Amino acid sequence: MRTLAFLMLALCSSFTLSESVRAGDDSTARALMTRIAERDEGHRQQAEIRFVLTPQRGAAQERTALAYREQGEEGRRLALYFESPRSLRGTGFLAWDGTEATQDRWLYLPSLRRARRIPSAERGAYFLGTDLSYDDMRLFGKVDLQDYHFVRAITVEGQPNLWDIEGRPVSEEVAKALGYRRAFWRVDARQLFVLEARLHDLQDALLKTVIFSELDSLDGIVTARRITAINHKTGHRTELQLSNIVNDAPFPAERLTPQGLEGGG
Amino acid sequence: MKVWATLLLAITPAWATDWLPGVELYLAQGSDAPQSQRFSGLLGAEHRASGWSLNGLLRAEADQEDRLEPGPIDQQHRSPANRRVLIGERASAELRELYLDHRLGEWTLRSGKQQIVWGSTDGIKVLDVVNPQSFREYLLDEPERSRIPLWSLRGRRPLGDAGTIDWVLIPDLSFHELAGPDALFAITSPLLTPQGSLSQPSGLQGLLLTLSRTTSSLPVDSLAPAIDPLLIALAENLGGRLPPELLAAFAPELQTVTRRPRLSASTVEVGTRLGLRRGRNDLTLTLLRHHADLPYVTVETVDEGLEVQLDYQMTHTLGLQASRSFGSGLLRFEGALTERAPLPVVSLPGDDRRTGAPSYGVVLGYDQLIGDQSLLSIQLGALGAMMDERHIPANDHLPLVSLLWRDEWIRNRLTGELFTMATLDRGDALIRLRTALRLDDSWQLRVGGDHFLGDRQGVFGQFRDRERLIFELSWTP
Repeated sequence: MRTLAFLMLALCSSFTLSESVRAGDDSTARALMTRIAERDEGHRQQAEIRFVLTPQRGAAQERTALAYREQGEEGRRLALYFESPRSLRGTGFLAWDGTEATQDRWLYLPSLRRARRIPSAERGAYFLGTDLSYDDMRLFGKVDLQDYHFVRAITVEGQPNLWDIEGRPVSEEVAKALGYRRAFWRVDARQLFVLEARLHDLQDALLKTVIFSELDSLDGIVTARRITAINHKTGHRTELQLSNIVNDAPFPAERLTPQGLEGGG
Repeated sequence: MKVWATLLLAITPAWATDWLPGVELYLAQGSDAPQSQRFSGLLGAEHRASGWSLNGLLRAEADQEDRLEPGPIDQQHRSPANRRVLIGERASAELRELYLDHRLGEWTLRSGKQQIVWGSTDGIKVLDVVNPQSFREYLLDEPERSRIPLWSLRGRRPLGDAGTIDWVLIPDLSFHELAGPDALFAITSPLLTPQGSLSQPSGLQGLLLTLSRTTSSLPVDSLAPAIDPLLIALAENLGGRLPPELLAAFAPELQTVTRRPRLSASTVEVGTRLGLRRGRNDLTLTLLRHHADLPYVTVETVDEGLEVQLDYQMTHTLGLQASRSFGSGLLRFEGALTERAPLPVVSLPGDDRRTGAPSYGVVLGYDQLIGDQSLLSIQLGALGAMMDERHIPANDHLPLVSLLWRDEWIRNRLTGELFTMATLDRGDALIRLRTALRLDDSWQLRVGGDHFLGDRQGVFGQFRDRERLIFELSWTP
């Protein structure tokens, strides 16, 4: 019954979004990914993030950071303030992502004592030593609808709320920017959440898997408390554990400004 | 003592305070002998509360070699509240930071001992002039370590997304720290400053030796009170002038007197900065009323003979910074115009030519991110003074170029940085290589090397025999 309801919903969505369905798109797949992209994330969120970076051999390294995110009319802003280890303490990273004209990055290193605007990395570049790309960090489980053709959507056998969707970058240029030739997402149609992304490199070999788990609904906003990224080429693994998540509570506006990175904000 | 007591009181409620200890072992090995074997202990504390936080950092260090600051350490350039606590001649302790962050309406305030960095260039100091600098390792020490923190008050207020406005109030009148005449990195290039030879007892002798690099003869009568009558008689047969190195050989050791400005409403340093942002463009205007961090050097006739006097004087600096990002590239400009700054000259008795002139600094830089982590940055810059025939002649233009390459490997565990800076007119250069390996979350190993090229008169060539390898092991829990 729920599957039927979702299919009707998807069909309605695909009808209303018919103008935005690209040639080559599967209308159900695009409708579902559109609804996920439009899922309410709240205006602001703050959380503590624990990063665990585990190489194929050797000891794992941990970092903790305070994260601030804001979704405004001009796009998304994300700031990370590293708390530990001591060698990283005080390091701050700020990204403003919106239209082409407002993609900006700043980095604050305690040793420099100043926030410095840094050139924007490629979207597919790895984010601060993790297995997640800058784009992964920006979208946090969502998919940029402009980047992909969604070519297939099939239900997972025996689990009517789960769908497997295949996507391909809309152009060679986008593929190079993302670093992916193909993507497979397993999505939860009920919670409108990507549960797993399997991303193939430009040679179409499986590059990494990103798993979003421990979904929790806080204030009506669904959040994954654990994100695991596994790089199949290097064997390296990154785990993000979110805690003390607060949605839509005010925090100092400076937290999301370059000056705020310098402290005292 | 008052400062230490304040720190202890501030960090007493340990239940809410993060303690941040650390230890560093540092070895700088020159081609002939160890240059520095430093052991540093750090104790940081951070106390956070609702609406405010307090940070402190105490650093104690001992240098086994004692070549960077040999002999008794002169701290005349620092205000009494900013001085290090000396433990013998080879060890010292310093309160590096102690500041309170709090809010007052729209303003964010930071009060206490702190570093304020308003410049954004690499290596070439243009607007990073709020805090003075220690030159005991010339330009080789990390900026964070070489900058001298000041007791100051800083305010900042955002202007929405359009930018911010900052102001500073600095009652701490401390100035650049130059290596003494016997130190490993004593500045001897006449292009920079004569003061390096003046810090400690050699006085007039060192000064004359410095002058000998640019002047073939000096009038003896101006130095008569300090010069042996036999030499004066000799000079009479040579038109009243003698080579400065000959004068130096017979010059007595003179007392150097540092004339520190007295703290008052007219000597407190103040500054403001307006930062504006629009799309990918940043524009920052800076205005500072501050003391020049190098002294004017004059030789004065006094009752007992001659005296070398170091005077610090107030000036104004106007600065402009602009940057624009282009995808993975960033173009930036930084310029400063200072109303009056001391020239690298010495004024002798009877010489009424000017020893200060308007000075400027400009840097045009381009940063390019290559791939995921590699950063390549190039800077073209110039430092100089606007002089005419009324001034004592000195070098008035120093064109510089720098190149920085930084990369990271093994998921940021291994980092490498190569920085080189060269003068465009003389071709002398500094090459600085650093690699850092994070062994785990607590231990870090740094290995690097410094190399100088060029003639001994040059700003880098003066240290051509000071190349070195450095090893540093640091631990932070």
